[in-house]
Amino acid sequence: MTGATGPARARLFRKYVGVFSLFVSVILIANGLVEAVFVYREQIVLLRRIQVEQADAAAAKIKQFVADIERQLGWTVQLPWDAGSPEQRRLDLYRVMRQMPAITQLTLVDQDGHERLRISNLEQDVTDSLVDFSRNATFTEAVVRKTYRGPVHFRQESVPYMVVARSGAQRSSGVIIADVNLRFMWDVVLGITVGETGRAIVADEAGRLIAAPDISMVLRNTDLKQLIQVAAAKAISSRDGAARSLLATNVEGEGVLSTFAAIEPLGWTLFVELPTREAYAPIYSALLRSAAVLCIGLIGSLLAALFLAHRMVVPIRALQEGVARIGAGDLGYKVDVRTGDELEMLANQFNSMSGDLRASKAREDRLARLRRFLSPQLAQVIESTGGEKLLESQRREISVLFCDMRGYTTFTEAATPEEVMQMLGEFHSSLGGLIHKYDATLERFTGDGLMAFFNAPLPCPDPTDRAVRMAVDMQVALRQLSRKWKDLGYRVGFGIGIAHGEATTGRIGFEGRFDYAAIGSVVNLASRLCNEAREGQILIEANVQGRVAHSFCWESLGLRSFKGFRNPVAVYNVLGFRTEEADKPTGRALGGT
Amino acid sequence: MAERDYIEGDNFVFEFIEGTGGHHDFRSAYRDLASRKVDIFLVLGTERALRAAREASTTIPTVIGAIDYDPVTHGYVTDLARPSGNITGVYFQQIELTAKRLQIFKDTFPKMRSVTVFWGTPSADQWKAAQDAAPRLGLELVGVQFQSQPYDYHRTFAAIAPEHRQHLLVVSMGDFFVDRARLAQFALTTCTRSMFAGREWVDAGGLLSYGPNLSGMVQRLAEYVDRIARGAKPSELPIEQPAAFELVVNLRTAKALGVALPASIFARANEVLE
Repeated sequence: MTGATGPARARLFRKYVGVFSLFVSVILIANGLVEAVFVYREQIVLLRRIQVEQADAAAAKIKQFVADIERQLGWTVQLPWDAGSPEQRRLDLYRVMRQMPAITQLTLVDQDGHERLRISNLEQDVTDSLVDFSRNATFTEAVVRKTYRGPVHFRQESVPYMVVARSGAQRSSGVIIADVNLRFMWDVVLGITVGETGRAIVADEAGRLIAAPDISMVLRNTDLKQLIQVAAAKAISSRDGAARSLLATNVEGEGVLSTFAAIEPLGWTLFVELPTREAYAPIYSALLRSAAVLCIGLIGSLLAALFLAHRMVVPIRALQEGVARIGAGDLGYKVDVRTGDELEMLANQFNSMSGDLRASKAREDRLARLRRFLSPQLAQVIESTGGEKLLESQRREISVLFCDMRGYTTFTEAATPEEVMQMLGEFHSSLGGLIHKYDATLERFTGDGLMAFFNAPLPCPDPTDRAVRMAVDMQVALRQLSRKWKDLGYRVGFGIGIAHGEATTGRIGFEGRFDYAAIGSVVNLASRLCNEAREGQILIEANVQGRVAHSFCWESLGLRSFKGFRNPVAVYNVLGFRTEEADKPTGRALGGT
Repeated sequence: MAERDYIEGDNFVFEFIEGTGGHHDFRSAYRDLASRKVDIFLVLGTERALRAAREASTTIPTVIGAIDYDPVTHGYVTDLARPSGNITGVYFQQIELTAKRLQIFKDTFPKMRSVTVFWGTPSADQWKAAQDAAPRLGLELVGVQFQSQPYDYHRTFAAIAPEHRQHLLVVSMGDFFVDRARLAQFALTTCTRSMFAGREWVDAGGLLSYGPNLSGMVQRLAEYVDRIARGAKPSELPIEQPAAFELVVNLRTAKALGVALPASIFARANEVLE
């Protein structure tokens, strides 16, 4: 039995675990993927929007850096050349240089393009050198366009500088030319925070790095031209917000989300770079979260599957056990399942089924017992009327019939056992049919005879009559058998004795082997009469004779003494049915005996 | 260094050597350091120290704070942007600044005709630069070379003719930095108008200073050491030069000396101590 439940349980378990895990995994993975996709999209959209804003703000700061310088330069050339003293102009330039530490040198050129004053933070100041700037683009551009912004150049191939020039409101105010150390944009880009690890950098028109939080990069004169974002910045209009953000590689070779903003009118580009490592961190953490939920879900589903499989398998095993026990005949076995669900209902049904089986089996047993000494019909009646009470002992008048074989002993000695068994079989089967026909109660078959009685346990209206009738029929039937055996060389005959009187009937025996028996002198008398009967005779005593005298032919054999009976008994021999009643062809046949 | 998560004695050991003696002191000291397999040489100050360090080892990354020599013209590196020779650091541009100091000194005191210059062997380049600039500014220079500690400023100064004693330029040099309080006090007591290399001397009582912010530059040096310690190569770290110079004026000293300062000085002064 355990051999059968083991694999079954394993199958059930695997099924549960498999289905649960699959179900939970599919849901969780789907959920995780959906979340990751949404987080990814939202994150990218959000990051791009933030970066575009950051880039614009940072570009504005850089622009402001240059605009501040230009404004400071502006007021040094506000007044006409002859409005102030040379000393006053010098003080103005000192103040501008102090205000704007990025300006390392200021050159004041008069309207004719002659250098009048040059002050520097490192070089010697020069007054009225009259160096000719009139053909210098710095001067001419500044005169024409008010403001000149030169290209970025790297001093000593290291430090980025640019020249900014302003002309005054009037032509006579001259032109102020400033050398601006762009290193000072360092402070500006340092002040721009891009996420945790991102940065803002600035490239000039030629694609060289001119500002970065890591000043070493700038001083190394780093070329950014080969980066795709720098190329993209040249190609894409700054107005196109979404296109300004792209996945790229920075100059160190790290993957970044890079967003650019043009710094007009300088032609520079500001790049905001956020390492993808950081940009995608929320996506990774969302995936990680999903994975964790997935793991928890899987463990949960495994536990649930285990629990459910246990809940299922234990009652199923109990049911299996019950089936096996009942199959083995233990009808009293009860399955104990208290799961409060269909399984418990099933177990209850199982128990009621086994109860029914038990009742049915008991009924079968009773019926089988009854059949042993009653005809099947009678047994059925008793069983269906539920009357085991009928089998209880009682005292009543019964007609007792004994039948016995004559010459049996010599026959058994002479004949082979096979012949004996065959003869007995034929004997019993021909008598058995008559016993059923007359609804006699068969107390027992003996080897060569039988005892039957009437009016117990079921009462019948004419027990004596029936007994005698059956006896006559038996003699007819047995005579045919006698003839057959005579042909075989064996001489056998039958004697029958019938008595009527009070007897105690009831069930005797022990559990498993009960018989229905009749006890009383009438039984002994019938037995004695049977012994007394010669071959073919049906001996009856006065009680019987008195009741059947009018329906049978009979002869008186006088008084006979029997062992155990104090007084002699009047014995009669039944010869056959009376002729007027001889609707049965065997009527007079006995008379010839 | 502590700001950069270095803890003395834990992940960082600072071996300090001071060049009080001659060139041989440096040599033996750097050889000693090289034999102890230090990770980084931090050579702050004189060219002598760098030379000694180079003689001890050219494989140990060296961070220089070149105060009184130009590492490019002296051939220690070929390129500021990508320095060769396992050397990087900060070049303080004190040589160029010497002439600028003289000019600002002259702007402050236009009647100035003569300046006494205190210098030492390590700062010979500055003295030379000052001599080059003096004729253009119409100045006569009297150089005083200090050679062995302790420097006796009073006795040396007393030997100079009185007409040269009114103005004093003290070039940038480690010993003068150590002696800044003595020098400031000396200038004050001798009623000398003084021009120094950095605000530290003016804080101590000097009259004027023009130069880079030293403490800011030393912080930059700490970053170099940090980045090399984290694996950067010296050639990846460009040599930096100070981008800004500050003019600091001590008005109390001016009052004590009884001198009036022109407006131009206040216009360009980054800080006026009152």
